[in-house]
Order: sequence, then C-alpha cells, then structure tokens
Amino acid sequence: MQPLLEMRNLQVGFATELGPVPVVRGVDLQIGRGEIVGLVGESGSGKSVTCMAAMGLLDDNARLQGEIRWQGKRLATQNDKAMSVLRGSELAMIFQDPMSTLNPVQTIGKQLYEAICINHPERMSRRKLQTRALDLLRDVGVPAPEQRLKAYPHQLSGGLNQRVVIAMMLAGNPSLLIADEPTTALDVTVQAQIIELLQELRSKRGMSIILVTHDLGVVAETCDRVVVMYCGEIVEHGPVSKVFSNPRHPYTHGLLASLPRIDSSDTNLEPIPGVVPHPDQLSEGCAFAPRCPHAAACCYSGSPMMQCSDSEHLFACFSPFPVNAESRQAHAS
Amino acid sequence: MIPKSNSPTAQAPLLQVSDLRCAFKSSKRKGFFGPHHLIHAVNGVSFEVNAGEAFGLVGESGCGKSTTAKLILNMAHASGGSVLYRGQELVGLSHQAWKPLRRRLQYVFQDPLGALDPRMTVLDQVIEPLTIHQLHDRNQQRQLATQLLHSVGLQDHQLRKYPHELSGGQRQRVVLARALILEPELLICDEPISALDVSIQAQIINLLQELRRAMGLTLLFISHDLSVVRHLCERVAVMYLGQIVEMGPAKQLFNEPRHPYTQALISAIPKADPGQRSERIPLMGEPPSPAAPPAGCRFNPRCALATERCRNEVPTLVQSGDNHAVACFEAKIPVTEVA
Amino acid sequence: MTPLYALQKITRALLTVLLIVSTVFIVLRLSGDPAIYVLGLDADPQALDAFRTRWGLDQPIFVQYLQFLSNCLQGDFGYSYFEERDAMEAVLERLPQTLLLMGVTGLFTVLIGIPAGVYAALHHNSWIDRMTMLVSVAGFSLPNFVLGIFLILLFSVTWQLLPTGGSGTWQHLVMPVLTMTVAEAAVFARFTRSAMLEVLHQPYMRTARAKGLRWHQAVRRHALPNAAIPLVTVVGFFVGTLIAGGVVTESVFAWPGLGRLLVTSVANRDLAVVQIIVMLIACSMVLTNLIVDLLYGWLDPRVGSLRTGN
Repeated sequence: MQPLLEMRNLQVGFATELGPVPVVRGVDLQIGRGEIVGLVGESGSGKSVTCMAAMGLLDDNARLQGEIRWQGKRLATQNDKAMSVLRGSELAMIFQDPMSTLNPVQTIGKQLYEAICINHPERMSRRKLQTRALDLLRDVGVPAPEQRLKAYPHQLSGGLNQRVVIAMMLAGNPSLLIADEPTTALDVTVQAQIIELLQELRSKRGMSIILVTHDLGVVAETCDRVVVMYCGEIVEHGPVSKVFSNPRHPYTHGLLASLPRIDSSDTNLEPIPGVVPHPDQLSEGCAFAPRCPHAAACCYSGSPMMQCSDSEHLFACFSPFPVNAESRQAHAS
Repeated sequence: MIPKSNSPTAQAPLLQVSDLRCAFKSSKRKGFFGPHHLIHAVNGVSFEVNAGEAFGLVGESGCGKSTTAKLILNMAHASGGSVLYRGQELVGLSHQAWKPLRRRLQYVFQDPLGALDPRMTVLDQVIEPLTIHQLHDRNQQRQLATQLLHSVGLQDHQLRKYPHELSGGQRQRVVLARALILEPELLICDEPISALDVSIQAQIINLLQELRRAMGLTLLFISHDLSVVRHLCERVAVMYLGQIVEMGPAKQLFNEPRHPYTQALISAIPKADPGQRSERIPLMGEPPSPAAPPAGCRFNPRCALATERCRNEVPTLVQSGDNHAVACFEAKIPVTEVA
Repeated sequence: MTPLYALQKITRALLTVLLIVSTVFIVLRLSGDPAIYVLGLDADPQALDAFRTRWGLDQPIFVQYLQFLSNCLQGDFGYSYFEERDAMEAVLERLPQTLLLMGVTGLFTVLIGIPAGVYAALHHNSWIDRMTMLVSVAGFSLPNFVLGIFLILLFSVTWQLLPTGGSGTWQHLVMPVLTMTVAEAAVFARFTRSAMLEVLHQPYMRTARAKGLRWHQAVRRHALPNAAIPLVTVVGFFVGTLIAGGVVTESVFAWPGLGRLLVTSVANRDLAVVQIIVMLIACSMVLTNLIVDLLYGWLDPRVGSLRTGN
C-alpha cells in the first residue's frame, strides 16, 4: 500500500555565517495510514527539523535536498502557498510548550474559529462556527467548552491548552498529525491524559501520528514503530517491541541502559559516555563512533548502511549487538 | 554500593523540617478593597533527612516542592514552622548567621546557565566559593578546583572555557563542582537534571551516586521524575498541593504505594518496556489551584475512593511500624504493620 | 483588565500630577526672590516690599504653597510680569502652533517608522534590513539643531526654496517637521523592528502556520497586532522626545510655539509662564502614560489579572 508520507534521502542544512551546517543527513522514512510512529533521539538529532521540513515550516536559511512525498505526490516544501493548502487539512502539527503555542492576546474561541474558517472555503455563520468549535473542544475532552471559548490561553492550564491546540489542528480533519514533544512540558498525570487522547484520535479517526519525543517510555506505551535518530541520521528503525527488547544499534542500547526504571532500582545505569557532537564537527565515518563502546577501525572510515535484522527491523552499524535468544524465539514463532 | 543510612532513631537527624508553611499574597483581592487572597504554597510540611541519606521529594508542578527547598535555604520567607539543621533553627536566621552555614548547605538548581557567571571561566567559577570563604592560598585553591572538576568528569582543556561554550550536561557538572568544593554536608538539588538529555541525565545520576559514596554527602533531591528519585534515593516523600501525602522507604513506596494519589502518579509513568503496558489509574481533571484548595483532604475531588469524611476532615500523616507514613483515611495499611 | 487596575493607574497619575505641581512650586521659589528678578537688584526696598505684599510673597512658605494650590485649582496660574497679562493667556496663544507641529510630526513618524521597522523585521538580516538600521542610527544620532541648520543652509540659503523661519504657510512647516521626523521615525523604526522580531519568533506563529495560514496571513493576523502592544508603551516615551525636540526645533526655525516661548521666558525670568509650560509638559506626559497603561491593560489580557503557579 502506498504510504501516506514518504521521505527519500532527505537532507536539511542551515546556512549560517560560518557556512552550511548539516542537521538532517539522509533520512528515509515512510509513514502508513493509521499508525503511530515514534521519532526518538536526543537534542541535536534532527528529529524536529525533519518534521518541520515535512510541514514546510523551515526558516528561510534552510537548504533542503532529497524529496518528501505526500500520497505519492512530491511536495514543494519551499512553496508556502502550496504547503499552506496541505497544512491543517492533510498534515497538522502540535508543539512542545502549550502555554506559548497559542496567541496570548486572542481568545481560545477566536483562534479556533480561525482554524475552522481556513479549512472551510464557504462562509460560515457565527452560530455554525461556534457549534463546530464546541464540537471540536468536546472531541478532545475539554470540560465546559462554552466557557473556554471566551477564555485566554493564560487562564487555562498547560494540559488544557494542549487539548485546545489539538482541537485547532483537527478542524481540517488531517490524516497525519505530527506531535513534537507534546507532553514534555506537562506533568506525568496530564501527560498520560494527552497520550490517551492521541491514541483515541488514531483509533476513532484512523489518523496517523508521528510522535517526536525523547521519552522512551512514552514511545513504548504508544507507538507501533520507533525510529531512532542520531546526528541527523536514522540509526535504528523497527517495531517497538523488537527495538526495545533487542536493540541492535549501540546508541539505542545506550539510551535504554541510561534510563532509570520505576519498576526496579537495582540495575546500575550505564550512560553513554561523552556528548552529542555539534553538527559542524562531525568526523568521517559513523557519527556515533566516538561515543561507541564497540567502535572498530572501520567505524571511523566508512558510514554504515542500513541493514536488516529482520524484514521490519533495520539498523545502521558495523558492530551491532547480537540478536538475543528471546527475540530469536519470537521471530521463529 | 550506597552507604547504609544511619537508622533514624539512633541519632538526631541532620535536617529536621517541621510544620513548615509558606503563604504569599496573590494579586487578587477579596472584593474591591478587601484583603489579598493567600496562596498556601507549602502548608504544614514535616520530614527529616538523616546524615548520609538520600531523601527524595516528589510531586507535580505547583505542589510546593521547590518552595520547600527555597524555604530551607532561606530564599523564601516561611510563614510558620521550623527547620532544624543539626539542632540549629534556620527559619528567620539573619544573613550574617547564614554565612558559615552556606559552607555546609549547598544547592544545585535546574538551570545551570543561569546559575553560572557568564564572564568567568569554569575554573574560576569553582574557585570563587573558596575565595569568598577565604580558604587556602591561591595555588591550593587552583589545585583543589582542578581535582574536583576532573572528578566530575571535565577535562583539562575545558577548564579555561566559559559557560556558554559548554553543553548543558557539562554546565551542570560545573555547578555541581562549585557546590561541592566547600565539602558541604547537605546538598539540595532541585530538578538538577530535568533540562538534560537522557544519556547525560544518566551520567549525572551516576556521578551523584559516586560522590555520595566518596564524600558521604547527604542529599535532598527534589524532582518530578519518579524513576530518577527511585533510582537515587533511599527515602521518599510525595507532595500534593503543599502537603506531604505519603512518605516512606523508596523501594516500598514505589512497589506498594498506599495513597491513591501516589498510586495514580506511579501508574501514569510510561514504562520503556512495550510488553508491559500497564493499567493506568486515571486521575480526573487537573490539580486545583493552591489559591483555592478544596475542603477536607486536598486530593478528594480527584480521588476515586473519596467518602463523605474525606470531603470534611483533613487526614494527617499516620506512620505505620515500617516507617511508611500516609495521609489518607481510605489507605489500606497492612494490619500487622500498624504501630 | 480589571476595574481595580484602571483605578490604581488613575490614582497614581493624579498623585504624580500633585507631586509635579508641588515640585514646580518648590523649585521656582528656591531659585530666588521674584521681586528682585522683576524690579532689579538695585530697586527701592519699599518698592520691593510693596511688590512682595502685592503678590503674597511675604507670607510663610506653606501659606504660599496652599494659596498656590488653590489658585491652580481655580484655574489661576499667575500673572506674567514680563508680558503684563495673564500667564495662561500667553501660553494658550502659542499652544495651537506647537500642537500643529507635533501632530504633523507624529503622523509622519508613524507613517514612516512603522512600515520601515516591519519591513526590516520581515527581511531580517538582509541588506535592506541592514540599510534601514544604518539610516536609523544616523537619524537619531544627528542632533536636531545640526540637522535644522543644515536644512536652512540647503533649502533657504542655497536653493532659496523655503522660508528660514516663522509660520503661516505649509512651506514654513516643511523644515521643522522634517527635522523632528528624522529623529523620531528612526527611533520608531528600531522599536517596531525589535518588537516584530520578538513576535515573529514566538511559537504561536508556527502554530498559526500549522493551522494552514500562509506566511503573510500569519504575519497580518498574529504578528502585527501582537507587536503593536509593546509599541503602545513606546508612545509615552515618544511624546517626551517630541516635546524636548520641539523646544530646540522651534528655536532654530523661530516657530512661534510653546518651546520657543519657554526659552524666551526662561531668559526673561518670567516665572509664571515657565511654571505653566513645565506643568503642561509634565501633565501631558502623565496623561499620555496613563492612556498607554490603560490601553496596554485593555490590549493585553495578561496585564492586571491573576497570575498563579510556581
């Protein structure tokens, strides 16, 4: 089946005074209908930029190569007019800090009406507009929506504001929602509510979701597939169950080993040594090699290609972790 | 591994917080010329931290955990209660009387860039506290600071750099080194790693554990991240709307939470194990504003177990025999353990 | 905006006015004996005494102060010893000329400064942006009197196109307005530019575009209105520089306004006139700032409302 969104060798660089800085370095990615894909990686991995590129929301100094296809058709991502037609009606996006993603001096109602009007070419009466806005707010579980229409963003909590943003994005009934760290600024109990809402959007509307996050727990609980990025490249990619139980790439393994677990405190944390290099200081070879405990000579000379662990599980590494017994059994059965 | 904490009854605790309160005026008044609304950010908090122990204070935003840290450090004005440090009262202490104490009580807050002087090199930042307290001569100061910076994982070539040239994790290491150079007894950390990436968080957690082992440091660790607290702390207190609702040994509290809020909080944490999608206990709504807390138990409007009594009476922290305390009328406490 | 917020601001403004009136009284009384100023150092002591009794200057200072306040409240602002008529009359006569100059300058400032600032911000870091900022720096670092004299040399002396000074026709207005507009528009362009840049980088701009707005639509609906809010606060400051610039500019072009009257009255020790002009300037500043505060509270819902949270 044709994927909804497809990226082929996507490269994004930013022109700076010191020359171009590559931030996304050859990403191949497909998002199918109705799936939730987690995009994980630490700051500087290029995960947000990848998403902004798909939305056509990159700054003017961004240089884009490769292609992004929407339902098979190549997107003119640098053409604001063409992209604005797709934004809101086909692809939508929500962001990290819900308190600042809404215009602070306009009421919730006004901002919702705007979203509805953009996606309805014919003029709507005030009454109809309001009914539609209330429906949207109810859909995303905002209590007492009538009162919220007149409220300003600073009068609502972070969780409610995030729901309002989601409601705005649903106005055009898009098929893909990109959620960039949607719960990072929220408390855990509120995070759980928002995650549940996202899952509901998928099950009720068949919406595809790209969930960009640094929280592996959120990915494990919500996503079907996970894409791990490091320094602008995909290093591992596959079904959540396989990647988490049998990470093949040392970076994925390192991320999981860095994570304190709520259900056991007995294991020692094994952090990844060093820090993420700045994008203009990448050395030749595998970008992760300087921090990798298994790095061999070849890792510093050539870039590893994507290879298959099995038909769904891919990774890019010269000295990967072995397939463990548990996973082999699961594969056999 | 971690040094065993002294049993709490054996000697007086290092830090004893009792009935600590902080109320501040909101900008809103009752009526046109009426008195300001009072917001009780911290409302009767009591706990003890024993020497050598790592004590965790957890809760969601607005629960008063950061204000508690500020009250202990005299950075906010306490409207009641007391904080005893080795038997000495800290509440209402003058700036002068605080100075010698600053050596023994150090703190690390969330934003490492804001905590560092942008015009000072890494090495100078760490030397500064020594100069302020007039300890050692210039050469020795330099030596000590270099040593400590090495032990928190910074390399020689980084010591001459300025804060903006470092990554977030490296900056937090510098802040840690600056707090530790005076060899404090108690280190108060407020969300010290929340702004950092996962792999860097793990580096700092391990560093803190190592430093505790090496220096016998006592830690008061404040965080919204329960997993980190569980990993690092021996005892934990859970706060909700300015009050402690549950307190006990970390392992026990996380394995068998007794307060319905703690239960919901723990169940809300996503686990990085796809096989184990746990059943969440849904919490209705969001925390009410501390400006208008509900009557009775402050958690009752969101609690599935709430009864008539919860809506009228305020539950107090009741300690059972296993050092596990909970403030809930409906909590199920194992019968054998009731003191 | 709550009624309480408005009431607070209005009370504060009234208190400021009282403070200004009192300060003016104290400063002018401290600066010397008006009798000697008017009659001269070698005047007859009896004449001096008579003068003091005539104007109540022999009363204790606080009685004079109360008298002064009560006079002010009754609209009696004193007598101009120099012009030999009611001081207020002399001032009011000049007021329309100053208002004309300020009004036209203000209009051009807004018409030039805001579009220039917006344009520079939208083309941030381009050569147009850099040029605009360069011109703006040059504009406000050039003192009014230098630019004024330069213009006179060019338009009046060399080309003989415009009158060197005075008022009456639109030609008289050109050079004073041009002189003041250059400085004011430069400042306004800078403020507009930084306010716009701030707003353009806000996350809600991204949200607006994610909804499906095109770039220019998002700018029009979300950036421009929001950038206007901090700009409103600048208006208070703007009125201040306009008055200060006016004093110099009016003197250079012999424009018969308040600024020039102030300068001549100071030279002539005409205390009552100086007093009125200073109070007028101060009160107009207070009034502008009051309007700005109220406008700000009305435009930005976050101002003057309850804020909670850690």
